Amino acid sequence: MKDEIRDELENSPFLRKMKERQTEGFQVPNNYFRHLPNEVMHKVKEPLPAPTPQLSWQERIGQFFQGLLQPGFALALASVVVLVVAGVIFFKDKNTTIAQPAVAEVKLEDISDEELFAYVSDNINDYNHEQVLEATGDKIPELKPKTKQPSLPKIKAPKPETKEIEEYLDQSIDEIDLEDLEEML
Amino acid sequence: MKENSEIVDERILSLLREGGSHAESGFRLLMEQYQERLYWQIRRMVFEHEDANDVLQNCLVKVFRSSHTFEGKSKFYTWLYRIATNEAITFLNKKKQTAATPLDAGESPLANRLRADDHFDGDEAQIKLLAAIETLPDKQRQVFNLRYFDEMSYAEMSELLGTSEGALKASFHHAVKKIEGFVASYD
Repeated sequence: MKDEIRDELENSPFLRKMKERQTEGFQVPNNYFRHLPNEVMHKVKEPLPAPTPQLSWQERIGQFFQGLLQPGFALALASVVVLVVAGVIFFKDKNTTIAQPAVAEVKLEDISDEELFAYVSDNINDYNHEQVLEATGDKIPELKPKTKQPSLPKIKAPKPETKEIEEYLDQSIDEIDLEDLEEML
Repeated sequence: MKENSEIVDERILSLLREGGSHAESGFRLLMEQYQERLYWQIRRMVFEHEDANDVLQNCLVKVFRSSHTFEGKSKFYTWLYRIATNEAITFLNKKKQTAATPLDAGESPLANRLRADDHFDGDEAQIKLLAAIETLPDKQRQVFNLRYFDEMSYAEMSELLGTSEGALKASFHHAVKKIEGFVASYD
């Protein structure tokens, strides 16, 4: 060991002690350095991988269409097209089924009074009492007070009997003018 | 008067520039002259023979393919050494990225690898020294190896590494202190 290095290691007993040793512990395989040049020459003679050429935009477009013709991609594309066409046909049929049939237009003047009366009688249950009374110009009296008066004793409004209401409605229907009925319908 | 090594370097470069079979002869001469020196520089950086072999072969292939770029501004070995250390550092960085985190944080993973290495027969003190060297930053490790193992002068190191002698002395001093600290805490 050189003296100057020994001096530099003055404060490092471990490194000084290790420096006195003749070996570092490393070994190499037998004849490694004899065989190495041939291995390296073999590697040197291997052809370099060809650099990737820069393509122009025309070549890139051409390459894209060539890619479309590859079996895997073409199969996937064909599947998508079949699915789209099937979807269009399916939904087209569904729309046709849902479509309402055309309704023949009938003018109100063509309907006789008897027919109108019969229609109203048959479908009287489709109208609530209020609609019927509105059509005749009357209103059902309010059964419950809208606002409560806490200071006053509670007075319940008399509950009209169903029979009474039916009688009232029958009477009202009788009074309905045909013109009003036309307006209602 | 030219040194013997300089005459050999000129011969190597002249053959490499001629190309063809001459280039192959020149390259074989280069390997004969420098392969062992380069191998040990690399081995002290990567520690294991298999890794050192891979790095050295890549380095030599690069040297052959880029020998025409050597301009003669530095010594031929300086150029070779720089290619070798760059290859070794690149290799170590890649290895760091792929290395798994050790389960046992107390022991250096290198120590276990060296104990299992067929091409290492050092004792525990030598394993401790190498584990300590492994903790040094790349540049500091280069300086330490060149001074401690190769006993290279600071003037030569300065030419080789392109760093001032003062900075190299300071770097070596810090490396020695770090290694002593590591060894003290290792047991």
